[in-house]
Amino acid sequence: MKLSDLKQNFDFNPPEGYFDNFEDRIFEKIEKENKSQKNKISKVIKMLSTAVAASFIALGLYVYSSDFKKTETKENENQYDYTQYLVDNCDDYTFYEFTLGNKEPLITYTATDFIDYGTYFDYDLIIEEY
Amino acid sequence: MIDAEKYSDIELVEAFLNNQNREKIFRIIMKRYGTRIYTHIRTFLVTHEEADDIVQNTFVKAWRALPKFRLESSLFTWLYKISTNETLSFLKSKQNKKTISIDDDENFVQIPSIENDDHHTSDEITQKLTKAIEQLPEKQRLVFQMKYFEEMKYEDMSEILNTSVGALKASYHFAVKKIENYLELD
Repeated sequence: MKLSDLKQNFDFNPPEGYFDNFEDRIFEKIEKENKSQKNKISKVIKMLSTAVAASFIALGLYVYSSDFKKTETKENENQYDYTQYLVDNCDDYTFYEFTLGNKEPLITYTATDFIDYGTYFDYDLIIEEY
Repeated sequence: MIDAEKYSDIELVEAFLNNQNREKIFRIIMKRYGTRIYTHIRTFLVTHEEADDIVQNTFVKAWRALPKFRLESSLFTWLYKISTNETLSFLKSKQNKKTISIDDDENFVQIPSIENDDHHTSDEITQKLTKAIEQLPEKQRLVFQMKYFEEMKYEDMSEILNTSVGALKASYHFAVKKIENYLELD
């Protein structure tokens, strides 16, 4: 027996009628896959648009908060400048009054809203105490 | 109705690329190569159901890829290439599902046994041949099955498997020798 004789024992042919509607089945499958692909794409688009909207909101919040911080920093800078000005320019009495005569922190006096101008007239009394 | 026999593969592909009745043209291509593609896939798979899935996937992929086809190879070898890749991917995923071992060579594909399949005769010599084929290394088995069962030309196999004709001839020769020794044939 030869090897070439044996292959007739094998049957790899398709079952009868397999190719009768084969082309229609393929196009149905293609159509089905196209639809599910479209669904996937629309889902992705929905997700993306949600993500983009969320990003815009986050960006808006960030810009708003950074503007707010900038304003705060500016105010602090002004306050600092004013403190520095006082330190550089105040006389001994004023300095004494600010540092020893009162227990409140110096910064309170640097803010214009809290300056009690009356204290400038009481420095004699304070000196007497010491 | 288009007379399928009238047109060569090149004419069909050119007409397809020029957007002329794409669906009709593709139906002709399926009619022309469906059975051969089925047989090619079936030699590697155990059941008709598996082969049916792979044949369908092959033609769906071909439909999607045909607009990019550049006629650098023949339509026939191009379709065979798709179907071979689909079959090997299927076998690989089936094998991965069965056993996952770190010792496995990732390129190795276990082509399943056909001995228990209803579509094959089950006489002793046929079973012995089946066992002999199973013992071949993967590449030799691919070459043997394509040459022995499908009687494919070496030149076509060379394009499909990206291997030189010389290497394919050597592979087939060694495969035949091994099988003949196994079966104790002349």
